[in-house]
Amino acid sequence: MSKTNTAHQREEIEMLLPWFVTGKLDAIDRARVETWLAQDPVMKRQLGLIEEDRELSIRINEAVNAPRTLTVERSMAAVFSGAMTGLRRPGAGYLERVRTFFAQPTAQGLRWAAAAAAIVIVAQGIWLSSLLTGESYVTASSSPSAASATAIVKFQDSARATDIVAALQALNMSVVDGPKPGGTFVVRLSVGQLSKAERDVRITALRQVGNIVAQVLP
Amino acid sequence: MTATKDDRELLARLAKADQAALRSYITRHQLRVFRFIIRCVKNEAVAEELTNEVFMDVWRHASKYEGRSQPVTWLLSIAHNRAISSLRKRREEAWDDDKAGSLADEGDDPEVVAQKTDKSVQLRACLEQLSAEHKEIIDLVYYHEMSIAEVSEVIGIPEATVKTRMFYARKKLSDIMKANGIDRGWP
Repeated sequence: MSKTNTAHQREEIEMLLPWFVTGKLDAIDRARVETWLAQDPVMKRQLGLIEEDRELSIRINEAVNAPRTLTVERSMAAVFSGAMTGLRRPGAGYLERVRTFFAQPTAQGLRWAAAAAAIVIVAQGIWLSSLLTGESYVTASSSPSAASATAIVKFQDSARATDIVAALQALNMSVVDGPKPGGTFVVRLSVGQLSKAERDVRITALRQVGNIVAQVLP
Repeated sequence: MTATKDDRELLARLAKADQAALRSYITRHQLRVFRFIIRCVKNEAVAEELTNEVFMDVWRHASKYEGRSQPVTWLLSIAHNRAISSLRKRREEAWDDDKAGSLADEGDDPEVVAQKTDKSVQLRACLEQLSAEHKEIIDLVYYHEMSIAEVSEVIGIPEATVKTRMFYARKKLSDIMKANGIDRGWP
């Protein structure tokens, strides 16, 4: 066997080592690797390095916990909202810019005003996005039954604008009007029409964001 | 009943718009999907949003799952596509994040320097310096324990490319470690 062929074979075996360690090779490849390792102690030492890297990858991944805002209910609400409306939200870059804006320290009153403005901007962004993508849907103001797609919401006094934006984004909802007397806002639960059951799902999801939402009025 | 069989049954029910099945499916896979995505996009808020979008895709396309691949492979291929699409939009930002490794620099205080001399911390910092592409394949092979064929399906590349990409990811990791004083004797 030529040196070139041997080098090529060695390289082929070397590339299989990670799956040899994880036990994910078929019987034929596993036998090839075992045969080769029996005569190549230098390559065999790589198994220890691979095991070390594997443990590291597992440790890093298992250290990642889901944020407390990522709940099954929120994912359910996002799925139903998105699936029924075909809504495409603005890109993450846009969202990040809004969040960066709100990260600036401001007085509470100014922050609320900015919150209202920014959330309306987000809502407009969604609307523009839908226009650009050619998607159409029934707007809240154009459908006689769409009134049920909104709710009056009072946010917690301690809630930060950035958290409000994030919470509503996560639920595929947006503020469309406010602040109203009493510090309430009109929140659009869906850009499409909702059945009572669908509306209840969204309102339940909204109420579960207790650190952000103080009250949801039917 | 195996996890795979459970997943196949859940997907069949999802295809019939069974909301209880969706709840079970999300409960079962939410953390796995989030972990996979955040390792690529490195931004919790974006990862959370993309995770929800993955389940939206599953809900919409469950009827298209034909059972030819493992359910988890199918799910992570959706997550991969979402993550890559997001990364493309944020490529420069992600690149900057990748460059901002946590190895010692002149600005570190003594405590941070001491931490960074700890080998496990150093190994971790080195792994974090890999490109998103290399981190992804390492996680798929080591953490998600996928075969060559499964990785090929998730990422959408030929099996030969899976093997070479994994090889170069390992090599790059060793190179980074060597550059930071950890010579593992390979390559």
